[in-house]
Amino acid sequence: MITASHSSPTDSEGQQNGLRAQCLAIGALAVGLSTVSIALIAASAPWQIRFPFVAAAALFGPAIPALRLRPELNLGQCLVYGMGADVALQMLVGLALVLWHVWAPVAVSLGLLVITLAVGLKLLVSSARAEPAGSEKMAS
Amino acid sequence: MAQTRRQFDADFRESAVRLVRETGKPVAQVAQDLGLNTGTLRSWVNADKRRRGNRAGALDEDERADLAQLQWKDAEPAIEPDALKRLHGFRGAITRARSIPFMLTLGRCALTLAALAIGLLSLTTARESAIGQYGLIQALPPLYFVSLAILAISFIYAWRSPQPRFPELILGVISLVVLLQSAPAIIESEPRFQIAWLHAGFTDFVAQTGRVLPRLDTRFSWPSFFTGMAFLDRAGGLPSALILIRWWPLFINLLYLPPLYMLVKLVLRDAKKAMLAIWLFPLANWIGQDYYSPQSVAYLLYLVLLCVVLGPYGASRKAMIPRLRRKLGDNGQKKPPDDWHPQAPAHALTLLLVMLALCAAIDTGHQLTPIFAIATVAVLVFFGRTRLLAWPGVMFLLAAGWVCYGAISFWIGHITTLFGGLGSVGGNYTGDLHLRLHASAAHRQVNDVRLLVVGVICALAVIGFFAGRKMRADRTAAAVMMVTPLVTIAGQAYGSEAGLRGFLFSLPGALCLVTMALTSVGGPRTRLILIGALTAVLIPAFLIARWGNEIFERVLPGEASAATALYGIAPHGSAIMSLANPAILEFIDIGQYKYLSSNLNRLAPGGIPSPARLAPDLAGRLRQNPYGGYLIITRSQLESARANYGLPLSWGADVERQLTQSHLFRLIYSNSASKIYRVVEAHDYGQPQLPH
Repeated sequence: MITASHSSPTDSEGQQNGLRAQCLAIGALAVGLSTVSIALIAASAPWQIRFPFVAAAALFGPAIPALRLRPELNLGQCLVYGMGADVALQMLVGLALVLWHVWAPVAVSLGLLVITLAVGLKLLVSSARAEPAGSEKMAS
Repeated sequence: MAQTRRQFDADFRESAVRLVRETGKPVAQVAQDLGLNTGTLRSWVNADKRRRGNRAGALDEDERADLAQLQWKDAEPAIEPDALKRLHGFRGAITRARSIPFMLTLGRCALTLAALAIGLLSLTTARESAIGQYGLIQALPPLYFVSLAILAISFIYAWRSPQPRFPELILGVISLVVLLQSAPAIIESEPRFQIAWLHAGFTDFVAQTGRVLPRLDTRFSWPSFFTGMAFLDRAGGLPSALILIRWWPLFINLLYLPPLYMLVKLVLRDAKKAMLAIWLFPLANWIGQDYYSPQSVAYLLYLVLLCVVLGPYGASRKAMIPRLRRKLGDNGQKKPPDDWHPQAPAHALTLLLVMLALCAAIDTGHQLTPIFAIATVAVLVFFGRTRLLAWPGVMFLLAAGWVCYGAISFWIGHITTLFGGLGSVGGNYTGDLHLRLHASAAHRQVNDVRLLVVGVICALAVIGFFAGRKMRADRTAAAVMMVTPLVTIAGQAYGSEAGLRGFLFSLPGALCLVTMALTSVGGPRTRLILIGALTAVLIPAFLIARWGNEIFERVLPGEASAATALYGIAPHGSAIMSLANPAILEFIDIGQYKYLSSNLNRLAPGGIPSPARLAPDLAGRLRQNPYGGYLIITRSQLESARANYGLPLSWGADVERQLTQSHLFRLIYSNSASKIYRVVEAHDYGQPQLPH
């Protein structure tokens, strides 16, 4: 999944390492936020604790980690487009539930958090599988 | 197809190479950020390496600059001139010299944080009761202004340094937003702005019932903001959306910063200049559409949409009207970067999904934003600034589809609202102007300050458009983003409020042009003076323009408790009326009551009726409701009537006396800020009277 575009070997290595670090960070954040949010919702934690995590998870996922799976986008584009898409997704999912008369926000929110968790895990796995660029040189 | 070769001046080449050399970023990444061909940038970097290799042992320009700073700063007394000369060629000394700018950066960051802390602490000492006819500025303590001054000096000092560091600049901008937007949240005891309370009520209704009420309020015909927030509130276990409204403006203004930075950077093609534009945005944005509202989120989505339109899909080489472009002096050298295309189908599909989500949320969330978005994207296509030729059509179909499906209950009775503005251009720009004629002197002065801000920004933008001819920035895109929303107002009948919205939507483009003006006129010292002067003008102007109506836009504790008590007193089905706008209503059980307008706003041009005439008129309308009616009068309403219609404060007392003497109303609740009257029916059984 993590590839480098046309560039010299050194640039390519740097780019790959940067992308890998981004995938690790975003993946870890997605997994952490979604896991904590799911746990807090399941435990019916008081809103003072639960709402900040759920809101942060909703703002962060699933679009930001999903966009980070696309190597063509840089970090800024991932964050900005992802944030916009996540906000739009919340609005549209809420609208769909109202229009279809299936108002079950907690259940659907859990579904979105599970998707965020899955995408985050995929990011972590793909970045863990990718050898750090330049490690061969270090070994030799 | 013949391609025009792009040319770059020496400054730009040098800046690009320094970016690679000093940040350690890969060439490809820097090239992509700058919109350059990777090979081109690599050739510049290699040439620079060769040049630097030829003079090994000598200091390069940066090192000389660092040494100069070393000489200028604290190190000066410690290093003798001879010793300074011996530093040449010693990397260790150079490293020490380099640490000085870093220490300066740390110092500036500390200054910024200190200013932020001082400002926030000073706000806790402010007295809410000091808010007067000029709004919040009268309640702000002197230390708050000092903190803003320190913050401004710190930012400008950081910005003018040869190698400004991104984190310290963004820290300055964030601190500015926090200081400006948190002032009312800290000073005022209740969350401000009555409409935000109403929107919170709408959100709570959706959260509790899973339904919307399009016949109750127009806003429910574009409900996705309310449904989205209700969805989030329920998932997060929030008992009421009222909890969010106090800090919402700060939160949403912070969210604006990333897409705004990306957008202005795409247009200006310079990170440092983009940061200046971002600095000016919170100061110029006095419009006040950032409260808890659909438009606040729709504006965020609009900014992100433009980032996609001008980002991956920007840089069209196909001019829609090449001759017009030539006339505008936009030759091939200034075309946006076109080195990278989202050609992979999966990538294109990803971006398409993002854009569809953004447009769908905008179209279903707010009635005005789609108009600005469609118009701006269409004109960007027209001027060849994006390759999304069909996208305005797609956006139009999405918007029209929602109006025909989701907003049908609105437009059936509001055809003239939708299309009545076509052809009455002057009326659309000057709508509600009569209010200014009747307004109090202080309110007129506040409005004048607002116009001053608009005038200064527009004047500088015009200068920037002409002064920026030799810059790499895409001034056509900036001009399109600025002018299109302003022109779009001509096509609707939303009143002068749409003019405010038009200015808000034109701000990103306008600030790009303003930045061009500020960075192209005179020498570095002149530019610095100009930036400082503009900041010095905009800070107090913002505080007056943005918070100038706080005397009636704030919510007093007595008003909130009275409104809550009203919902406890009034049985379901009864009619509720406020004497004037604004009133905090419709935030509890919104579907259970009938809300009537006193029509005071409509009566204003012909003169407010005398209290003696007003009482029978209000009672007559309330009596039409079989379940009884209630009238609420608050201090904010009376202050609003004084500010907007020029009525004396004694008018409120006159009205209250007439209501009592007419025997048509009975006072059932009273506190320091509010009074609640119940209309007396012929078969009145009386209502329990609450203790005062």
